[in-house]
Amino acid sequence: MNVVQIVPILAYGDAVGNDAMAIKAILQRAGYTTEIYAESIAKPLDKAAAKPIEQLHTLKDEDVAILHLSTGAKVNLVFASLPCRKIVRYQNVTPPGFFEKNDEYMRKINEWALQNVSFLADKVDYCLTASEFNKEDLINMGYQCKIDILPILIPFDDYKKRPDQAILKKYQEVPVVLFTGRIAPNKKIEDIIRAFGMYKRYYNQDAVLILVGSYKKTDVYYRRLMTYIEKTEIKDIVFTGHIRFDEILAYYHCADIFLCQSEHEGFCVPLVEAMFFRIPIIAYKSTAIPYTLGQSGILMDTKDPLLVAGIMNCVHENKQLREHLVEEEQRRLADFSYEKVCEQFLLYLNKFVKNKSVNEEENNYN
Amino acid sequence: MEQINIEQIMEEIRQEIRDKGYINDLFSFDDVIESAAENKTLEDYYDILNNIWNVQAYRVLPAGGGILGKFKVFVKKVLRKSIKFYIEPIVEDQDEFNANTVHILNLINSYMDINNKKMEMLKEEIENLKKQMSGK
Repeated sequence: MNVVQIVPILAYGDAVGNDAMAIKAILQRAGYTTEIYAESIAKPLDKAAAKPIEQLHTLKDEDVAILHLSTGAKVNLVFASLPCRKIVRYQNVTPPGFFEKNDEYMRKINEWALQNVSFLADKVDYCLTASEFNKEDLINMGYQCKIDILPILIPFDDYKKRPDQAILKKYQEVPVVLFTGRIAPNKKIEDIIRAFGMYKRYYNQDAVLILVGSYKKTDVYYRRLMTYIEKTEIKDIVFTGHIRFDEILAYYHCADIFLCQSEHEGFCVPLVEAMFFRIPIIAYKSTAIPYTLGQSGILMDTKDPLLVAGIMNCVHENKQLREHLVEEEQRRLADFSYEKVCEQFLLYLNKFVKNKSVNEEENNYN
Repeated sequence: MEQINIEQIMEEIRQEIRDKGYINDLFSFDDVIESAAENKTLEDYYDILNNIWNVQAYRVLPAGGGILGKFKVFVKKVLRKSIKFYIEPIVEDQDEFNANTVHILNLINSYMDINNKKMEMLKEEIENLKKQMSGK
């Protein structure tokens, strides 16, 4: 029996791509015949990582196809017409509204993505979502099949690799506020900058804000952020752009506070990464963030930059608070352990595979 | 460990903000839409493209300090020379494409200018004719 995965783009370092690669490894270990098919494969990944979607061979009724659904793509429509049993791994779609003033192309793509998600509602047999929030999203879009929650698979062993030494040396003695993630409007980088500006002005003049994440210099959102920084005269903000993995690790090693002001996340892998690196997290309460944090981190329901800055100061200065936060984060981190999520995935998949027919009643929970 | 009361901490911060008179005078991010995203004219973009279309394959290497720095520059120079045969034809092809693209854009720009002028003249003519007709 084949279990294939379908992704629009397979890219190194991307949460969806990493999740697909991790699932592929589990499937291989479990003895399934498996392959990833993608509309495009971004370098440096090679042909061994995935095959072009055109090469997707004929699937039989009993085969299983898993679609990673996060963007508008032709493969979503190809997936709908497959004769096999279908699982959607819903990674969430950023609401198009976030791109309104920033990126017309992305706005349209995400609008189309939401249409794709709705279109697939009655064409799939089972869904796996990374968070409770994603599950609710699917239910709201008319999904009636069984939906289980499976956190994103994160290969934590990779994080034990040697970090870049030059970055470690540069920021070791500096108070570092960190955020990692694409420079995208839903991440609300401007709110991080505002809070950091207040923190630097009233509490810690030496602090540095490091924003690790890819962007293009021509991005309207990035240019707006640059203008904002220039006009507000907030200093010591570093946009790293796309960097090597050992450099990302180094920034995590140096960080004193992880600050997230994002207003739309389907899971938010960086929060779990911050937990792994024992960085106290301060986050805005939105979408999947409360689910991913659980009882850990400081979850704020305000974005008042003065209050956020005050909390940043408390976390930095109050050793007891820091220790408490890190301790809670370690507890939550255990829920995302690679082994635990792998085991959970296989449990879900085997249960699904046991039900032989497509769209069988057992699989419909409503 | 003693239980941490986040609400209490928040209240203490609020009090501190009040007591010390901290203010948030940063302007709204929404206000930068115009200046960054929409104020650049078509002509501005034409100017940028006309200035940057010619990509250079040859990059000047900054002088390195110390023995290690000099050695690094030397290695980079060797690398630059050894991949020259591969990089330069690609850059030349890219430059040819860029040059043609910018040339076409410039032609479209002049064509638009001509048409805009024609349109202005026709508008003026229509206005004059309207005036003449209403005068009757």
